Amino acid sequence: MKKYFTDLKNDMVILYKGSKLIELFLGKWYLLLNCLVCTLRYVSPYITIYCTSLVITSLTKNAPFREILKYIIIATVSTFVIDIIIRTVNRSCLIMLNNSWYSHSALLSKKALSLDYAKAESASVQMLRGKIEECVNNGNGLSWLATCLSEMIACIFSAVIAVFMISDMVISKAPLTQSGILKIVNSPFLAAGLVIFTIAAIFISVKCHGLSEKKLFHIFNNASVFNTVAEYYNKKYLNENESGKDVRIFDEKPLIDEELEEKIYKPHRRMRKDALKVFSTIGSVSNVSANVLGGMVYVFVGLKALSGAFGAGKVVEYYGAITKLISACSDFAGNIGYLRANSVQLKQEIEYLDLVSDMKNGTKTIDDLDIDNIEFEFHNVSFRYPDTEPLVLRNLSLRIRSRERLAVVGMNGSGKSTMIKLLCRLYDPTDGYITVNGIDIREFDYTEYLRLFAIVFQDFKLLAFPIGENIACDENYSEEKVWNCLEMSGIKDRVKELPKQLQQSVYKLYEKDGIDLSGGEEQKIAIARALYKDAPFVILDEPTAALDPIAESEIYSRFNDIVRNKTAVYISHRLSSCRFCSRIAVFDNGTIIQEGTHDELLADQNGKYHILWNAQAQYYTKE
Amino acid sequence: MIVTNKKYGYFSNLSFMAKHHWHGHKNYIFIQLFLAPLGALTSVVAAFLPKIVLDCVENSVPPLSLLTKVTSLALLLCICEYLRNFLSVKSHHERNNARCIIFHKLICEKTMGMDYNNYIYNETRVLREKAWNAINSWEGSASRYLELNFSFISSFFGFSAFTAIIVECNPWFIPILVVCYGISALGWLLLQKYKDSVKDKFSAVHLKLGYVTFRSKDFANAKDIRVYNMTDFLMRKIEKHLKEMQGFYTKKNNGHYINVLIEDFFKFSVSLGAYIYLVHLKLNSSMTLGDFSLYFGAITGFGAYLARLVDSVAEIIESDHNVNDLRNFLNIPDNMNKSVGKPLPDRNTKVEIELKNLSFTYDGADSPSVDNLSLKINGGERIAIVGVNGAGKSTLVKLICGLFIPQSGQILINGTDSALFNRDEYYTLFSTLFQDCALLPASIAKNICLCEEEKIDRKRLYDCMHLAGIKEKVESLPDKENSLLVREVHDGATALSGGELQRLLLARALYKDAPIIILDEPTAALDPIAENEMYLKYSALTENKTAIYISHRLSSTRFCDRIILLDNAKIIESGTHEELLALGGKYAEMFRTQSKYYRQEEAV
Repeated sequence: MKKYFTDLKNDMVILYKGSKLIELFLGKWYLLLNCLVCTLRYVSPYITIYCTSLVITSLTKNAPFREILKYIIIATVSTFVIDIIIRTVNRSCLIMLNNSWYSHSALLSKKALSLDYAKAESASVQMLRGKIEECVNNGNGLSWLATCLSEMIACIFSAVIAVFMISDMVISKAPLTQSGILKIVNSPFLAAGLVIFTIAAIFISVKCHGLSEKKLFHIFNNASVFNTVAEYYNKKYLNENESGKDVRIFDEKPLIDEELEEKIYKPHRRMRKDALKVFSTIGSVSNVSANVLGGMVYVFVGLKALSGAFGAGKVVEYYGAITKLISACSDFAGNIGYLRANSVQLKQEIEYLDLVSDMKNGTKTIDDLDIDNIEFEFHNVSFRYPDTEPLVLRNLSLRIRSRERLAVVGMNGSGKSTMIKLLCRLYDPTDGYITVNGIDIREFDYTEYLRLFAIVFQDFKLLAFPIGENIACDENYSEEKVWNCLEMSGIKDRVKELPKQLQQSVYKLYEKDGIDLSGGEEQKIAIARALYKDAPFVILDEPTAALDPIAESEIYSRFNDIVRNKTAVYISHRLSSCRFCSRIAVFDNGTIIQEGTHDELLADQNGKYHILWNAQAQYYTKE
Repeated sequence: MIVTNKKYGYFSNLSFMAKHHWHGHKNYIFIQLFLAPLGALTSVVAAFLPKIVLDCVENSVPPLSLLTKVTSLALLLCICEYLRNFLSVKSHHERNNARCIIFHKLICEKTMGMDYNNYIYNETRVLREKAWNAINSWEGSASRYLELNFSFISSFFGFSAFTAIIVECNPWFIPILVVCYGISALGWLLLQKYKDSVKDKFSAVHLKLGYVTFRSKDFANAKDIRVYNMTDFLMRKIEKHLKEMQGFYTKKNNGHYINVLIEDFFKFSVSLGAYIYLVHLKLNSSMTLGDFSLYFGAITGFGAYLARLVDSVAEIIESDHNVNDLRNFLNIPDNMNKSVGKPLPDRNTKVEIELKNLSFTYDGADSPSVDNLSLKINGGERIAIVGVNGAGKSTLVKLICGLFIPQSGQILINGTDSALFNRDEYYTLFSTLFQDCALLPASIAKNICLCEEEKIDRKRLYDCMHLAGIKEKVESLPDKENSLLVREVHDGATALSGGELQRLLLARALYKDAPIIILDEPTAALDPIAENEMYLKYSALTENKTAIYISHRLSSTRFCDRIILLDNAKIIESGTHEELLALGGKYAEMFRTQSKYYRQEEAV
């Protein structure tokens, strides 16, 4: 019982938060208008029922045509007017609903864009988002909350009217003493019995709805797991060019068929089967009980009318009112069920929207720094990726001096790229801290802080938008500046040749006239993007991996122009790049084992650098 | 690419859908067969129930007779309702299975099975998006096609039953009703026409919106988005597309609104007219109260059925168009040879490749990417292809392994034109490692072996992982080779670094063990020591195979028998490392450029 009340309380909290969200997304009037539509929808049949009853009563009494006509016109005209009101108000509601759907999807995207990097990666966050999307696509969530509330209010109205209409039936007495069946019909016990049965039918229907909604929620709640997989296949693996090649050459079809079967179809089938069980058993029980009750009411009302308790007109009225009462009650129950199931979904949504950043976000801006003179320092930094065991960085201490060119080399997995991720605060260190000019980087506002960096990541991604937008990361850009950057990264001529030049989209995922670029060309565009940003600190992680020797050499020889008076970190497996860096840091197993200039390091015959260098240089030193 | 926008015939679509449902869930069809008459029966019984009660009351029949009559009819209604409810639930269930499994599978299979050079076009993606929308839309979805047809039949049954009742009252009602609902049908058709006219635009916007939304939450893009502060930029795109979508919906919504108003008006006029007429009749004839209620019920019921007929016709049309969309995607014609091809060369022999006057130009490109190129690669020969970015290396490789069809020229495999082989069998000749790749959200083992769980050869898997230098990494994972990849899909999945990813791809190519091996920049992300190991192992890795190696690292070319220098879509130099250096051409220049940084004596 206690649990029941805490549940109720939690639901109330969600309800409250939800109604605030309704106001935010759907507007102040939505709930009210929706209530109006629902109530009218529930109430309008009573007019028809009541008037039909009046018409039939008048007919049995042979009333004049004029009088009957009055009822007919009242019934039809009011129904028509109500219909028009319903349609019109409903149209406004639909527009509001649609708008909310859009602002809602926009909000979800915005949330995704602003999540902590570590959170953006987490499958559970992705899944939470998946659940919300699923719930919105099924029409659940916020709008559903509004619908449920409105329907519940309408149901109450409907039930009150119905009870009012039938209240005189139970107590109505036949004029003469009767015998046989008719006597039984008029006995108060039978009337009481019918009332009890009605209540029982309502109870059954309420219970069934509650139960089925609860079960269904649990059943459908798991859908997001396979929806995430399905989305990965639909939007990515079975959509993109790179995977398309592998799918064909490696004949991945049987494997993918198996994966789809195991990870999507099987759980889907299981889910549907469970849902079917609920629908067909619980749904049938309430359906049958309502129909049995309907039949009994007809018999009872018919017999009572036969005994002369009331006229034929009332038969129609009572029957209509009782069936409406039952449906109002069961709808009410259903809505409570929906509401409770929905509140769990709403909770997920509120949880997602409330996902707070785990990262400390300071208030300092980069204006607080001397931009011409910035110096980063790692203080005993250790790091492991979230949810994983091994330390990727161990006790790393490193100082990056202002305007220096630092080359970072080392074996695969030695922590070079991870160091960059920590530097630009995609993750915070597990241990230790990083400072810029002596200030802990966590004291800066994050967006502000990122203004310090222009980075070409090893696994950078271009978007399928026009080249100009890709470089400026904005629709509005200075064409001249973009061309300059393209020239510096060595791809200006190629872009000049394109029919739409800077307006040419890359890839065919967004625009149909998009062009596919080679790996080297993509890399040059990524470099141009970093140049365009013109930030004081440049980080290049394997920027020439896909470039041909000539282009690579051009980047090398232009390196000083590219970096100019900035600080630069250059990560590469091509050790030739170390030649134009002022200092080299050799990473091994998450920490720095050597530091110095190329000549110093090479002189150390036993050092790692010596081995690395020779492994590569041996092929180039002799012709 | 030919964009197919074909209209299929009604019966053709019907048999198409029936075939797929029959194939997947036979029950679905049987359920529909029962549901159609059941629906009509239920509403007729429901219309008769009040008539019987009223007749009994008016004629003051003995109570027992009322009791039996009404009870039996109510019981019948109860059974009908129960069956109808049960069957519709079942039908809903089967339809959802069809939507999410049968048709999902069809689309996925087509996507995987189509020619690569159809697959890569945006037009194909729009067609696929339309196919997705066709089966997943709420109204008139293709997956409801059969159901809608049956519901039309059901409405027709109900319609006929009520027609029979009305004819007895006054046959003139029928033409009046038909005209009224005919007019409203026209409105729905117009709306449908609008929906059709914007469908292409709608799908294109939907695709764009989907792209930006997915990218904005895709982890692969997350770093760039944050560092380049693209949030507002992407949000503006998303909002723009959302607005466009909203425009479509608002128009549809308005059309809908007008149509329902028209329908309401007719409903109002018909019920008003029917009411007055029936009251008049009742007052001036011997019609019973029961008949009065029956006729009135029949006229409104008839109207409701007419409206449903109109609705279901509109829905069938919409659904029919959706089926067209689905089939248009599924029927994108393939140009490559999918029939029985020539027998492949024996897997254990060395395969010779000869290119004869090969040319290839990308759609919409001005200049060819491969221009009248001829080259003979002997069986077991190791070829290195070098050249500047955009010289056509990757395109050439894609042509050789049968992803693209050359516009002219031939590729001969042991003297047989590659076009004569079966497309998919031909792919078995190649092991490839491309620069760009995507990972399957599955185990490492599956990502390497690329076959079903039970077919995985664990020993070979470990051998290949060892050769590719990723065995230690995999063994260090708690779940070893069964560790899952892709963190956005699996919580706690393994994240691979660039170098590890490349090793995994190499292991994948080795596992396949095909007679021709193509490696495109396999060492780009490897550290110098791993790179050197790769060179040293290269001859062992390519033992008895014909090998093509693309690299910008000219050190690698030493281990190849012959170097081909591509420039501007043509071969300009060919020979061994020493020969080409001696030639003093472009290769020598490239080598000097790359090596100068490694020479101690040269100042930089």
